[in-house]
Amino acid sequence: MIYNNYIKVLNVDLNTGKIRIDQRQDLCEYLGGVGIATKLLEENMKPELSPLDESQPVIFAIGALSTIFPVVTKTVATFISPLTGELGESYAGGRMALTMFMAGYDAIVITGKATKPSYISISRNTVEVKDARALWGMNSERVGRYIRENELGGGKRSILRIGPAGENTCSFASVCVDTYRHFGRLGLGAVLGSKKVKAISIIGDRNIPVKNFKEYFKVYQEIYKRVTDTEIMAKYHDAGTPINIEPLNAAGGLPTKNLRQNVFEHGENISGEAFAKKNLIRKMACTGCPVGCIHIGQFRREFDKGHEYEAISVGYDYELIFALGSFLGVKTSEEILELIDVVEEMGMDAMSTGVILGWATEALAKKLITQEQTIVPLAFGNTKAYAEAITYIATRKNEFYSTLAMGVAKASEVYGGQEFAMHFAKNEMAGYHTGYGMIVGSVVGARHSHLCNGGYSVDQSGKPFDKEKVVDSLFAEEKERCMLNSLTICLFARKVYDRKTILAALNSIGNTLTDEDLTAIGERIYQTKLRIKKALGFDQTGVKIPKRFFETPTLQGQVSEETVYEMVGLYNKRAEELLVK
Amino acid sequence: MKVYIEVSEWFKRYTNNCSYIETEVPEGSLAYDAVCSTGIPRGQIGFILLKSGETNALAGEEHPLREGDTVKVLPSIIGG
Repeated sequence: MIYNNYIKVLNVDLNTGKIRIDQRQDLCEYLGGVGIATKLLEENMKPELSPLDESQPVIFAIGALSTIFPVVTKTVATFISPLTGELGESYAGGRMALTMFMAGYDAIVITGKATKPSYISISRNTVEVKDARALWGMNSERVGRYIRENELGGGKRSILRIGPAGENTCSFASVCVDTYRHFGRLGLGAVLGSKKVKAISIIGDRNIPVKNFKEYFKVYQEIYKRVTDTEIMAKYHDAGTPINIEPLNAAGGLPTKNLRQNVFEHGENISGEAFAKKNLIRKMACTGCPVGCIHIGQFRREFDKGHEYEAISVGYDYELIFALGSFLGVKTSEEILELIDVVEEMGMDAMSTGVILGWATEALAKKLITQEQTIVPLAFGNTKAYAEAITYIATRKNEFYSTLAMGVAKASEVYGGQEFAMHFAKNEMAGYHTGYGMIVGSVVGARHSHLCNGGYSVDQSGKPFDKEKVVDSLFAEEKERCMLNSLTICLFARKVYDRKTILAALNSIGNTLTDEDLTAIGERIYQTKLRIKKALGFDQTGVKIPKRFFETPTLQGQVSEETVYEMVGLYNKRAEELLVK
Repeated sequence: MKVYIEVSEWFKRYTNNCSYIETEVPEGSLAYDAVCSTGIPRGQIGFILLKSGETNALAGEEHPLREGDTVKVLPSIIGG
């Protein structure tokens, strides 16, 4: 991408084993990242077929600034989500973007299905589909180790792999990238599992000299200084996102016990401060990031009688603490780390897992389901039962767990309790019960994530509530994030990468885009997403929002159901206007 | 008038490690201004809670304080 007037796309067809490389000039108007990944999804998807049909594509893409500027670390994946049945979009850090860049590919499109469990080995000159029958059934850590030891070659390497949940096409199975990073949400792991792809290894060894080094280095240093010498990113390195537990709990926005509460009585025990003091052992960073926001915590586990203990290290952040902590009434940091470890081993999205178990706990208490079905006595705070239940979901232990593996919307449709199944358009909620911005933002967001338009951020502005202004703000942010994600900037650094900085960075590597161009790119990408959603049958105004969201007060107080639906309508009008623009 | 400010862990770096500050502010001062007078940057403030016994309420940007009020300042929510 850098210094080229085309986007280089690697196409891998697992049905035929054929590889094709395209140089696509037409994709440049989507800039990169989510722009090209969304356009390639639109071109390759089959709306009439199931999300797990073998002909559905998986697309990975990097952006125009990938790896050569600080904190531009993400790779985006697009696919049809088996969880929601519509746009699947997920991001991961680690080394993947660097290796794709150094292997010379801006995007990778995988279609078809392997005849047996396989892993794909990608390098600059070769692409091979290899036998992974011996790896099928292994957890992601073991698979990573095997590939590291057996895939030899120079250069930088990134390894993606799925766990048992992906193999069993659990609708919210994740993909582990390198160590402690994931394509977490919306079930990319299930899509790879359905294609019998256990892992993908990418090795990059290409180096591209920067042409105008003086200008590039000047801009690089300015960005680097803002990242490291100002307060903008300090919290991410310090306590990290778990710092959110304290303010959300104090202000009444922490989803607790399946959102029956907005405050957790044991919040202090699971705060960022508590994790830092009791469990934090180190901090790590994605390649190309000077921040180091990945917090690694450790807990001890007895693995045999006679005082035999092992120390387990897992990555933790706010969303995991909310989903496997307050949402399940789990009250110590050690227990949360234990559950994160199980989720990691099985290869599942922690947020969806926690929210689904929250529903199951309440459904059991309300006798909508029986303990014969749940096998273990699910109850808020019962970590041991939750740990077992997670493995049962991943392995689809019985009919009940097989239904849970399809998401909380499906489970509540089958067993009842839709009013307390905490999802937005089938995507399980994120950990912010902050008010109108979050609820409306999650419903209308292209992938129903808090990251689509930052609704939780709008809710904490402190400004008096004005529904039109909130809708305008969400709409503007959704478009802006399409542009930002076309560059695959880590959104933690979105305040560093303002428009001026983005243009300076692009211009320093010979890209002559203007401010107006960036606006147009953001709109173009969002239009493409809206077209995809429409083709897949999604209608914003048809989303039913579970009652519990309106019953439990947010940090803005009780939210009016009527106002929320009115705001969704207002947003939809703006989206429809954009579609025909 | 005297007001009292409780400081969460993150903000102690701005207040010489103090977690509870008694401060003198002009009559009618806004909660946000009172908090900023302790050295906490405005951009870092997420929420200000008005404390009254066991109940807390969020203070908006324009909320004026009264003599003896206690507020708790919390960091903004971070994330993508």
